[in-house]
Amino acid sequence: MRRLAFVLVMVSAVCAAWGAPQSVAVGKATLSAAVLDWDGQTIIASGGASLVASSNAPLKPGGTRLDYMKAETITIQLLRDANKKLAMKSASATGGVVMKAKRSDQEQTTDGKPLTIIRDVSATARSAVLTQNQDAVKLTGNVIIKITDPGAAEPYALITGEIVTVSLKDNKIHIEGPPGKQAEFTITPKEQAK
Amino acid sequence: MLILGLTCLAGCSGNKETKAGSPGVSNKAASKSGKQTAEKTALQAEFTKARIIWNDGKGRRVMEARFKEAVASQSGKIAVVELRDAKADLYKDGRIAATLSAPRIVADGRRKEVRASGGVKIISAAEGASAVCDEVTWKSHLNKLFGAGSVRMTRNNVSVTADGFQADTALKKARFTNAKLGIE
Repeated sequence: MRRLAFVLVMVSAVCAAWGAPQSVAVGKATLSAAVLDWDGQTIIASGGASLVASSNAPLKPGGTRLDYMKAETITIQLLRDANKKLAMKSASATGGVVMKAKRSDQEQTTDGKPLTIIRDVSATARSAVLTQNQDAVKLTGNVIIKITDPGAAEPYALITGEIVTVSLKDNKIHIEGPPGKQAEFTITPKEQAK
Repeated sequence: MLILGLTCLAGCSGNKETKAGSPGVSNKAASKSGKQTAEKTALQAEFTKARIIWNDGKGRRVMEARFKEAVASQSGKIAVVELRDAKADLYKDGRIAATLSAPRIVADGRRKEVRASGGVKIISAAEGASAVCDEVTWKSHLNKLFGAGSVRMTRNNVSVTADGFQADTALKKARFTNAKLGIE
């Protein structure tokens, strides 16, 4: 039942489009690299760049939270908010992108009780773009996403595609295959132990 | 440019100081007369609680420094000045770009640079940015600051820690090495 619900959510998301007002999906963030260039409101981190989100807020049910993104180069754009504080407007990563996130899936037990499962999301791609106003990470180029149950070694779900967009405000994932090919979404069944 | 400015060290500071008339600040106070020393050094002088203004060859302000103590030496047209407990306004195109303060500042006419050490603080005049580090070298003709050691630069709610940095004098553009940037 839980798997069916999960599949339904994922499949329904394939054609979903999202757009939301500005949010604080990442919140506090740390950017580190061997070299960091800061020019106005653009910061380019190169050489083992790492963007780590450090939000203390609990993960919202039905939402996804970025833990970190690593790449050869990460560029972030800042903007001034109404309080004149600098906030991250967008981040783009290129070269060997690795992304880790957590998602909170709302499911039901066999007897119909609500159940929240926090799953690990790990992704690799050639490049990635995180836009705050869209609350989404767009991964491009040989994208592989693994969604893993807590404590499990093998991924619960495997997604491959050329362009995959992971929504951070909800658990929707939009998948596009490479030209002339289809995207793949695989759920790995496992024995029900209980 | 800086070399020429340094050559008029004593005269420039005297004129300006008289106009400014800051209480407790005098270029004459505790001044020791210049003396001929080694071949390379034609003039050496010591000052306490004074102010020095350096202009370039075109008369444009390069740096204005206040300090508790200074030792200046001059050889030909080249001067080297060491300031203690100093605060210096760094100019770019005739305007203050940043203010630098440090326990020790050396204005080296030979190398065309100003070196600050002992824990340096730089405050940008325009950008609302500031930086601290162990030591920094300012090359006015390049409009560049080179900082090293325990670097921390802050602009609004964003801060960077790094091993080293180079930036323009106003801290508008900066490059950091082994850096970590935090957005609060």
